[in-house]
Amino acid sequence: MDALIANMVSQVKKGDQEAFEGIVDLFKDKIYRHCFRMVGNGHEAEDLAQETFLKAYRNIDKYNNDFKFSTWIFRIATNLCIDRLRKKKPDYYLDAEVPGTEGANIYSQLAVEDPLPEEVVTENERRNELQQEIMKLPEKYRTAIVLKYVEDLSLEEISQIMDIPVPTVKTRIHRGREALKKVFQMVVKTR
Amino acid sequence: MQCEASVYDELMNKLLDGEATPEEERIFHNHLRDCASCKEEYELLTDTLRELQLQTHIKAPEGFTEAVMAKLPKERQQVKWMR
Repeated sequence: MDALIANMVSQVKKGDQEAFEGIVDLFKDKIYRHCFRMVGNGHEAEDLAQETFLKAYRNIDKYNNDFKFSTWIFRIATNLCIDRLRKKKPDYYLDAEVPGTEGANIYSQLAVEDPLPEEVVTENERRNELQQEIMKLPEKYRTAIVLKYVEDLSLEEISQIMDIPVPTVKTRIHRGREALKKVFQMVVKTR
Repeated sequence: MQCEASVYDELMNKLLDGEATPEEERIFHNHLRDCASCKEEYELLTDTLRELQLQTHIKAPEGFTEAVMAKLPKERQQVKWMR
């Protein structure tokens, strides 16, 4: 897989735009999911994921083999998401009505893959609840938790993506888990 | 009630980081039999994290690749045509 990606990257560097299509196809779900977890809404996640690939394309000459390509592109996505989050009020996403819609909030905009009708309610509820809890985490903990548990990346990779030392990554994961546990406990108790 | 022994807190973190030795894992699981608060906490965390890992159904929308390709700067395309 790494050799395949390296080959595509070198084609793109030579100006072969079609080779970039392969890269987008390979990483689009991971990057979209990561953005979705970070910003909590489908439209913005799509926008940010597109921006990630465009930025990767524009900067492909700067990519070298110091990092895995996946680490490099996750780093671009993470930085774009954090920039976006910082431009917003922190509580904007929680239950905010989406501008230009009637009463639709972000939870009604989750991408769903046609589940059976009877599964819809409970599945969506659980999913929304979890996303809601993730959105409550401070962004630095959220990033670490999402990279570790949603994307299953190593501490070393997360350290490179977030540009912080491994022990700091660990601390953030621990605190993130702790925070996630607390908010989840409240959800469980109020049921 | 909160478990007073912070040593188990540390063990739990090691376990959840995937860095506990089999011996540490055994010690921790033994402790869970006697400590309801640690057990509850551990289960809550593992359930939450497992649920997070199951969220692979979230996929990029239809037409994503095409949309990205359509937005690429044109000049690089020309490099290719001129080859």
